[in-house]
Amino acid sequence: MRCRLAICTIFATLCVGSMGFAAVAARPTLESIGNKVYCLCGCVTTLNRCPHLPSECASRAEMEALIRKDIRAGKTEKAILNDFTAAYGVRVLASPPAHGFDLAVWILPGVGLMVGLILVVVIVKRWRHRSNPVEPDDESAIDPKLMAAVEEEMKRLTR
Amino acid sequence: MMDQVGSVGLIAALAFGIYAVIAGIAGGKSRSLRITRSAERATLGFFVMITVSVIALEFLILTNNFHAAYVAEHSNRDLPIYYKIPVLWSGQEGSLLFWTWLLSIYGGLAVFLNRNKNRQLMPWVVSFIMGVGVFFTGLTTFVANPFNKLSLAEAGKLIPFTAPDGNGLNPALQYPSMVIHPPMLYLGYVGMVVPFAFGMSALVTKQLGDNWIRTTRRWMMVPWMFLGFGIILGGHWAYDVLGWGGYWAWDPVENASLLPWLAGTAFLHSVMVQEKRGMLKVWNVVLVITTFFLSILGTFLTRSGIVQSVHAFAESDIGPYFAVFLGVILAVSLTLVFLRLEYLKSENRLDSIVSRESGFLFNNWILLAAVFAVLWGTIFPVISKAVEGRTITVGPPYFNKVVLPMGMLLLFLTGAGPLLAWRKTSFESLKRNFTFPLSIAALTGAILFFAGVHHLYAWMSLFLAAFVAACVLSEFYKGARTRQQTSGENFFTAIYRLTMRNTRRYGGYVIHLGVVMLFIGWAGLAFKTHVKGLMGEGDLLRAGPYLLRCNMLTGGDTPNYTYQQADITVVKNGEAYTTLTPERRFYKASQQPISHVAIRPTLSQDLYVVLAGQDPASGKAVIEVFINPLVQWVWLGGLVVFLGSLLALVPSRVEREMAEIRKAQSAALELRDAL
Repeated sequence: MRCRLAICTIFATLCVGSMGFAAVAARPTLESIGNKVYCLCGCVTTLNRCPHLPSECASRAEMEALIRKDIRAGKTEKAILNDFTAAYGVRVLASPPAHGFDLAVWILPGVGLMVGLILVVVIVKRWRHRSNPVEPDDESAIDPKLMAAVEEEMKRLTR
Repeated sequence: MMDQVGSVGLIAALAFGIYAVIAGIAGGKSRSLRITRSAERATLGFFVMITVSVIALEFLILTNNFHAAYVAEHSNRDLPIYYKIPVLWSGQEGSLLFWTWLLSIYGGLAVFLNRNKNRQLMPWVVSFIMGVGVFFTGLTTFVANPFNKLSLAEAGKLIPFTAPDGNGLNPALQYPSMVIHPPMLYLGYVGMVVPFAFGMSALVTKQLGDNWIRTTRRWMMVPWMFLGFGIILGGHWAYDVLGWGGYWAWDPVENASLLPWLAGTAFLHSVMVQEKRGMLKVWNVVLVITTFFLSILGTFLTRSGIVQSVHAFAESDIGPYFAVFLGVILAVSLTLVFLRLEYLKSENRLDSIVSRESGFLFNNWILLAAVFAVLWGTIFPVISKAVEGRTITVGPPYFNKVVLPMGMLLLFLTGAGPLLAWRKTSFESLKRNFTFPLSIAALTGAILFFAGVHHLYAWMSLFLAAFVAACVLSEFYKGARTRQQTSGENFFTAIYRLTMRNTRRYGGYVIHLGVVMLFIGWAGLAFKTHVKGLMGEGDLLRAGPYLLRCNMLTGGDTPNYTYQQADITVVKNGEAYTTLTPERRFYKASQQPISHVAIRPTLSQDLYVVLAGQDPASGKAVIEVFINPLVQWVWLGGLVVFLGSLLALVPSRVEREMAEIRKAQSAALELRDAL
């Protein structure tokens, strides 16, 4: 009981400790937005990671211009990303929005984690309450019928 | 001539492979040593024939035989010889041949090292390994043959044609770490076939005691080590070549390599529960299957083109074959597990929730949840396209949000797990073992917070890294102190002997220290800064504490590429710091540009300078400067994980003693059977 209490205390300390790190809503920058949208030139990377220069890549140049325009207009990150979705479709976003069918991408890992946890708890409980563990080691690897025949034979030989 | 030799080699290998599968099954069923040995010799024949094909293809590449389509597509005359060798695995057909060759090496080694061991398992092991070998050889022979001739369509007929020169190797691959990164990854992917074969053979023969799991652990450890090292080398290559200042982008191909590594990590931990306590038997078999399945799934994802990836060079139409093969693997393996459930029952009960066993269970829970999250994010665009009919992207923001918290939990367990005792951990032992590491972590956390580290994950990474490092180092310290008291050895001799006495345990601790270093490196990502500017000769650019001065812009020509180079002097805090020469190359054969980054690495931060190109309006160089804190810790951490894995593979005194005991037990059992 005390062990469990100690472990809970460690976790609680970690959780409370992490509350000291309140997320600060930073102003959007070319860099921050560039990490959240994909360049559509075919490089299959975020805008910041596009290997082409804006002078070589029309798509990158156009997208960076849109970010600069929106930042100058004082738009928030969410508003800028909405502008990108309106202009290029949802495929431009580096991660899908959390609504509609796309919500599944965000929810299922959490569901998987919880299902896994429940499974672990159930397994642990079953193991804890098991009263008759099966015979260990190599015995269990041998076919039970064969084992019975061997035992019978041994009895016969040692009689 | 050599293309014919290569083709004949492939067909002969296919024949050997098919024979080995059939003879293996026959040998296993009849328990005939003669047939089994024949199957094993066919496995060696398979290796020899595939080796002949590999040599033939390398010969064609090295001698510029551009009548071979593969050589014309992936090589050229002016390619340096050290980059001609990796042409073998730079394209679809060659890399499949290379895959098959590594498989044949693993198969040959499995046969050789088990020539006097695991005799009941071996015929089936041969069958399973060669079954996979037949699939890949069939693919290489009939679908993606690297020995196909180049031809031109003329008046509706295909006429053989020899190109004057080839298209050249992808410039991104012309980099030293790229020469060893793919072989390391492949050694990882391919090697997973051996533990899978042992697991399946144990199911077929019902030999599901400790023996198969002990054998499999080593065979899993080797590819796991190569895969991990390959992933790190890939990151190093991306960091040095791609020029965006990072090393991991959650690209589907990167994710595909991470999946079997995570599943293999879960297995390497849970296997200890079966060895020590006879528990988790079904789970371990399922993990072996999952790891192998994920390594083939990775190959499928990267080569089928069903997911969009920056590694587009590997796409082709072989996807459907892999899909069928994956289906067969699942059907066969799960049927076998289902049929043998009776033999996979746990031998013991769990005495306490606070124990090493449950620590491993939680570790497996997080690792498998991470596998699911990464796999789900990787394939979700395909599902979304099928359901909604629209293209979406699942990129770094998703993976960072979902996988990072799991990483934190795993890091905590990395330290906490080894401090828990088997069966039951008392409160006193918990207090004794955790007080020192938690105090160190709390002190580190407080110092970091007041030093201005307010990024949650970075702070947490460093806090937990301090905790885990203290846990691991205290284990070494306690062990060495005990030895000192009993034997009078000096501290360092005691550490050495302690480690060599139980290499598996202390190798594992070294791996955990490597993981700590990796997390320290990843924490640095939160403090990365980036500056971009145009620089002509004499221009200055400030980036954090650094002042960069462009001395000159030069250019040059080599047979393989032309280049532009910037000569930049860096001043830090008023003192000359270093000179860097970032380059932009333009490869002639492939007509592609690529940056060669200049890096000044230190343990605290890297100064990373990229010549991104030339501004057409001003003619000045576009220079990007990244200040990347703690990146070197990632490479060092990867190296420590690799060395720790090697150490864990060294047979220790404890293992040798245990082997002797097992040998005696086995002799006693045989004697009993004989009676």
